Amino acid sequence: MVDALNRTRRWLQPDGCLIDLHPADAPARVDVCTAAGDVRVGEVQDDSDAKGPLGRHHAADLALAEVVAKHAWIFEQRATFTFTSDADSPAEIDEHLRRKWRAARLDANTRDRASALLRANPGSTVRVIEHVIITRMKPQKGN
Amino acid sequence: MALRLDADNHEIAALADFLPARGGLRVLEIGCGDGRMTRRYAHIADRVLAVDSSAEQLDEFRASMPLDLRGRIELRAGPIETLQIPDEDFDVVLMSWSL
Repeated sequence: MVDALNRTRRWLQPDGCLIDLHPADAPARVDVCTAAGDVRVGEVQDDSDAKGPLGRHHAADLALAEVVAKHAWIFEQRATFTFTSDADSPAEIDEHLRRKWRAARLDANTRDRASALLRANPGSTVRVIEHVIITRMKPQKGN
Repeated sequence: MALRLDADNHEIAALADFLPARGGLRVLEIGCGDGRMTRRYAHIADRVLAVDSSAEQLDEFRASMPLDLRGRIELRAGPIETLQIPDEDFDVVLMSWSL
């Protein structure tokens, strides 16, 4: 990751910037959104190498910090936002996770809790909530 | 209801806030995947080179690319290590969920 970040420097104009977006190193929450409010029913089960102290997202945080510490890049701006995925059923969410995430799914308990709430609250939806970190950096001149 | 991603537009609002506020932006996006995010910001760029290591993802992107963006988005398959790009060619390198 550090190599990838440094490799991009040559492609940037001298006053250019790098913008990185990657999920925070925390489980994505699953809610059912009802007319009375949002109810947490579980978390996305991510069996990939993305989460945890040895995971990809934590490694991305470390890589950004490392290139700044080594004076290759300068942090300009950083923020966190929530990214939501909404569907009418847990099956739709599960299909999306299996197709677009590397190895993620809804477990049976989360699916069952979501289905029960949806039956009891017609018109409700299922929502996955991720926290995403966005960072802007510029190359340190002379390095 | 079909699956709806970022219904509150938090992602595109954050990106708009972080992109340089000037016209004629040339953006190199690394890890564009199926173009989900590229389609959301490309209209404010002058040119986008969208790269992904998966030719299958790029095929999906190509098939769903709006006509009005076809002139400004170039797709290229391959890993970052083998990219042949002139030096200092871009105002922004965007790593979209790819680091």
